[in-house]
Amino acid sequence: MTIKTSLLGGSSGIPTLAPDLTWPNSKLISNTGYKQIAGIDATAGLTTALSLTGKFLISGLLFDDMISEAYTVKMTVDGVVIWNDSIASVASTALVLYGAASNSFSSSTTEPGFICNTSLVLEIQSTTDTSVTLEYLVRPIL
Amino acid sequence: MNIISDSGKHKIESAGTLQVTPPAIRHISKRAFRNRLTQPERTLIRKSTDDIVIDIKEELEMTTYVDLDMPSNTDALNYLVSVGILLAPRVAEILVDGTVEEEFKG
Repeated sequence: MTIKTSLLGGSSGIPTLAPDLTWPNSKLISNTGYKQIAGIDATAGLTTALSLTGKFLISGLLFDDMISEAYTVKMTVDGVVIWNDSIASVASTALVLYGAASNSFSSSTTEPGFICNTSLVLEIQSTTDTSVTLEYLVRPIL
Repeated sequence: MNIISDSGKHKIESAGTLQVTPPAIRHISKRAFRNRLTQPERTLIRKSTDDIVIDIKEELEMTTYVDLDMPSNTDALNYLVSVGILLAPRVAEILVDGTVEEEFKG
């Protein structure tokens, strides 16, 4: 039987966690261990909400504190544009992009993580929103 | 661009600012919410024949979690104050931020 190793995320298969020494403490603060970035001014064109350089396992991405207006969301992984979409209006204040069961990471994640090998850039643009919040769940891997 | 973390091999950046204090837990489990009521308070709710109190009790039984910011929940607690089941200061006490143990985890 042939196993397609390309489906396993690389030649070594399952990703190995890189040092992330304070991870247990973050799990104490928030049960899910997600981090929150606030105050993203998305009005000056596509704005980088999250930039990862290196190899990471991404388990959750969620925009919060959004207002009722159009947004453009673009994500580039390892130089390839994965998402590039305009949303007419956000029904609730949160936009779950990846990994949350509801509008909060307090709920269990529903999707397996994905890997960026060298870089990830998540950008957002709006007309008037000067304070977007991003919640994310990523781990550095070897 | 703000540097969130940089180990040399792994770097995280953003136009925003990392929040050191996690957001308040405002979604708690139904059991956690029930435990915020004292035994005498729960007994008074259970024995009440007031239609609205019965409705509040049934709503709590049907829900999967309690959103502490939902206005209808505040209204319900205020009603329990109005009929003498809760003392007025208890409303604020019951609606304080949840703990990690109380957090609704889906």
